[in-house]
Amino acid sequence: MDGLWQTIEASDLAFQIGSTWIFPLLESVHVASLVLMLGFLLMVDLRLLGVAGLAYERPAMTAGMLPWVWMAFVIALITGLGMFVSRPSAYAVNPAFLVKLALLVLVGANLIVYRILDRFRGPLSGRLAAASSLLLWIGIVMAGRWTGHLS
Amino acid sequence: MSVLGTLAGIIADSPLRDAAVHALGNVPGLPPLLQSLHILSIVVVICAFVVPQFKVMGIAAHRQLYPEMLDRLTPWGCWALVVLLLTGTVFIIARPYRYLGNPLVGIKFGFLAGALLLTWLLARRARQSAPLFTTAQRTVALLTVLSWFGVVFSARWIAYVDYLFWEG
Repeated sequence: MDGLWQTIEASDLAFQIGSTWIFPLLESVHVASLVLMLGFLLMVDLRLLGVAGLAYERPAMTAGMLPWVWMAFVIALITGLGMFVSRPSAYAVNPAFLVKLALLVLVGANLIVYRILDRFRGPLSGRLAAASSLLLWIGIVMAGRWTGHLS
Repeated sequence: MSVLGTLAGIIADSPLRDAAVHALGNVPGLPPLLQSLHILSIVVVICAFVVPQFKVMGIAAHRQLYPEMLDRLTPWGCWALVVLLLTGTVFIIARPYRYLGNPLVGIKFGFLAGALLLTWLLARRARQSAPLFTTAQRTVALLTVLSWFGVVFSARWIAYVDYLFWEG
């Protein structure tokens, strides 16, 4: 993989991102889309957890919310890739970045398990999935900040 | 000297600054921990004060009631603002000249003041007219969202303005 990272790092795109205002712009959009995504997700997760928004059934709470979660997630993913391109070999060995990636994989696994279990176990699976989701995303935010400090 | 410059001088000469510098430099992981808390508080602010604007604009939270949303979310948002203030203040106290002398800080607090004012005004007016919202209210909701994201963007650029727009 080292060869791939070095090839990417030597590209004009990597140079442009890493040495101009493009990197701060990407990071700003990354943070903005992340907080927007988590702002919507927090409301949904707190309802699933049974902590807030109990006046609504789960479908009423999630109606019109999840498309924003997904849209913001895609923007965060694209801008995150853009930042990665600027220094892939440094990120690839950054332990905080690797933890962030691992937690992202767990978020995906959590979503898949929830979709499967929700058919059989109802609210309990919702609570478990919401608690896991909140903890994993807190971890992702923290790992993201640590990535910058360990770079 | 400007008001902010004077304030920076007072903070720089105070024992609080030494304590903040010592804590940030010697407590392992404290800077990223405080920054993480800051970002997580922004998430709560977005949830509490931005998502309801999407409801007013008619593009999210279609089946939730606007007055109920305000009652449920506003306390969370207010507590998050307190955490934002506390976590942000530690860094300002530690490096007063860097932050208070940075033009982006003024822009950030300008956006923040605007965002809070618009959020408060719209909550008062739109609560009465809900579930029907006027075009003016939808426009104010959009301006409120832009103001909150102005806060987020200007905050990120505080760190970059030092070396992107260097002199010479």
